[in-house]
Amino acid sequence: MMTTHRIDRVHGVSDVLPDEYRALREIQTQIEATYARSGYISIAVPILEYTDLFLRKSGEAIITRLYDFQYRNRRLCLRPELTASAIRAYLDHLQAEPLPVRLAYAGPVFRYETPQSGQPRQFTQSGVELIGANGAMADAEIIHLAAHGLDTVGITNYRLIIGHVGPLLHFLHRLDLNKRLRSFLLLHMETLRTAGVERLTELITEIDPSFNSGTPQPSAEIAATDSQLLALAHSTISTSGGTRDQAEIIAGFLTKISRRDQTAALHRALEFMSALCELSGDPQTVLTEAAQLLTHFDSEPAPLNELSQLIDLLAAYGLDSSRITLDLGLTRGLQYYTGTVFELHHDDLGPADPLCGGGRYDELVGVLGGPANIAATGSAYHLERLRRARALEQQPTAAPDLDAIIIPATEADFRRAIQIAEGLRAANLHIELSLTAQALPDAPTSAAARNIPVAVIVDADAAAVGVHQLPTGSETQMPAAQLADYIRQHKIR
Amino acid sequence: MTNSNGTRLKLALPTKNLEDPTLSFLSAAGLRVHRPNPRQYVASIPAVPQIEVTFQRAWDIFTKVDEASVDLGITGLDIFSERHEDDDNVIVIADQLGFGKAELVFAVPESWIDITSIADLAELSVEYKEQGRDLRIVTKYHHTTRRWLYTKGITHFTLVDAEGALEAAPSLGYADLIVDISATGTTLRENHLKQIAGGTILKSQTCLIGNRRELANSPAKRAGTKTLLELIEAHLRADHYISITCNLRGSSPQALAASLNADTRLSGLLGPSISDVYPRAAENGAAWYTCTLVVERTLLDEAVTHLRSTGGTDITVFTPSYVFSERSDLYDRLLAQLDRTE
Repeated sequence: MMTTHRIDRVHGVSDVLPDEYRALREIQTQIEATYARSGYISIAVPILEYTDLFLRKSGEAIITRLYDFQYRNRRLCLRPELTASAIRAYLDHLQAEPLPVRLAYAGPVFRYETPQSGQPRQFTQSGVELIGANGAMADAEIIHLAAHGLDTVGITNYRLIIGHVGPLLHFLHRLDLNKRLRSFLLLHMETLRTAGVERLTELITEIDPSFNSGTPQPSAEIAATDSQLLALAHSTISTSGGTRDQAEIIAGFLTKISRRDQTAALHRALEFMSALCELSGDPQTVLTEAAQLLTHFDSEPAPLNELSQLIDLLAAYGLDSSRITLDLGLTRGLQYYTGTVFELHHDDLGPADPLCGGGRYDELVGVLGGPANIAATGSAYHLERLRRARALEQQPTAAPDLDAIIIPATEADFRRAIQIAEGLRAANLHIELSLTAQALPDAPTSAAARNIPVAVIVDADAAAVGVHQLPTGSETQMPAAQLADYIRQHKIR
Repeated sequence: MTNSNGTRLKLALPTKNLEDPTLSFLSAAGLRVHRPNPRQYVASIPAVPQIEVTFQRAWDIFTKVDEASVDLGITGLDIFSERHEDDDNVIVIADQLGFGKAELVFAVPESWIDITSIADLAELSVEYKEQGRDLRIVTKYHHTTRRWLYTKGITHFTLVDAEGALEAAPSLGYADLIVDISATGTTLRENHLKQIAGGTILKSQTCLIGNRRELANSPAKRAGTKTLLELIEAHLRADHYISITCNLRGSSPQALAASLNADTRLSGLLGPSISDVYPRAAENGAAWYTCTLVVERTLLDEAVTHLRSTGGTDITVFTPSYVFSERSDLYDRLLAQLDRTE
């Protein structure tokens, strides 16, 4: 015996049901109005992009979660975020505009999260990009806009966390680390913050088994040099190098034996990163302590001046300084950030669920093929989290979507019921037309159960219609011409 | 998406090079497969009559189990790893059947003397990314390779579909390196490819997989699976044990037990069982006993020495066909995966 099972919903994605949909739309409208008041114009970009757009500069956190597929000889993906798409759109269409260009967007993004993470695989981002503007004034505009948007939506219990990737970038750049380890460390600042230095050490050992978390040892590779050189000589005559030519392999080999042991540099990097992670708290205190730390490690103080200026400007916007935490361990894991970064957190959502995140990404325009000197900064909300945060703070009202239902009493009344319904809809009321004839007393009862405020019974009486006001059950007769006013008086939508 | 397939328990067995070892394994576990006609693709297992056997290609078995056209299947862990998604209906019921062992490994041209470890490969990937070059990896195992490389922090590479013999791809120039299953490494060496340190993605062997939904919903199918698992598990466990019987002289069974129990590893699964021996010629003062104990195979030598030191002689050693414990661990694990208790 064959039984047919239902087709399941794809794991990790959700259906948005009416109450949630209404709340999301409302939040998005309020956010877009906030953007528009500061001169940001909305655009829409495709959900499908060439995978390469996101491979260029995204961090591991994004790349490893891409919905990435081959379709008819093209490598495509579902967008995991919107910044790269927005910049691509800017390069495609808007380069003639005077700088800075202010763009806003919203739409679904897709990330293949593990089921254990509890994160959805599709969510909605709503964000802005400020293209072609450098300095604290631009950063302050974006950060203020992000925080102010929450005010507009009615979310009050939020905190602003501001960081700067500059100190870490400068420090790692000066260390004699290979590029792979440098970008790995940058991406895993978050691991260090949340799971501790031991976990990060484990991860490093996993990607680089030669990394010894104890005392540095002389590299075994160098000891093997002689036999490998012999092997090289041998291979030159016996086998082909596949897709790499001899010169390239020899160059690779020489680089490898000349490469110094990375252990010492890694330890120094971990020491600096751990110290940075400690710097979190009230802005003035952190700025003072950070100045000492950077002096101690002989690193540039410029990022601190930017942060200090930014804090001043945010005060001018009226942002409550007690909401602000300065956290130099915040890097947001995305490889494209180059300066200030920030996140907005809700007090009752976990630290892994920021409401909004953003920062400065001065290299992305260049990396995506545009002019190298165009600075940019931006931010994006996670709309579903905004909805959750707002629902935690205020009881959502379950408003009905309909103002009235029009019910023909018999099939002979269908034509007149249609005319009445269309007349009311033209008056901008939300009207459901019953598709079957229903006799009293059932008709008003079923409408009342659905929380519709008014039921209109259309019957053979051409002069009037029967009107039931459902919460009270009161019944009146009135000419059809008075219906619109009556319904408007009683609507609760 | 899935269709229920009735109440008979359907088991798919792999054809081609896994066929003979699978049949030998089952036969050794007391699950001889009866195939009336060697050209037919259906068979039965007389020891568990409710099982219906079909023969399929190992790669197809995963799909057949997922779509529930069979309930159970024997295939490779490599195939499971490649085909498995977190929302499919396939679970691994026994992951170490102990045969069909092979490794999924990276192999690069022998002459790449600068690439000897996965860390070197990661460097090469970064270098290629900076040069705007693709690092092309040819493999049949796209998902497994991609997942594994991501955990190693390697994100710049392109996976290329296998066309014919994978091992030839680097010298033909359509890929830079390969990821393939290798039992001995011989084919790789013959094609002037070498493995790299830390470049083993997966140690594979044959496994028993099953359809979660079918097994969760049908008590009859779980009962058949339990019989199968009991025999397989007791057979696999028997491989690790030997049964030793020996004659011992002692003052009393209690005294013997005490000295045998002095080493818990060598005194049997629970403790020795000791019974009387009635010697033809009586000896003064001491009685004879015979003692049987089951110990781990690796401890044979120690166990014999221990028995001798306790006064043992006439030591005979047997290999058990099965070792059953109180409950079947494999079946308990299956129930846990199905969120059930019995």
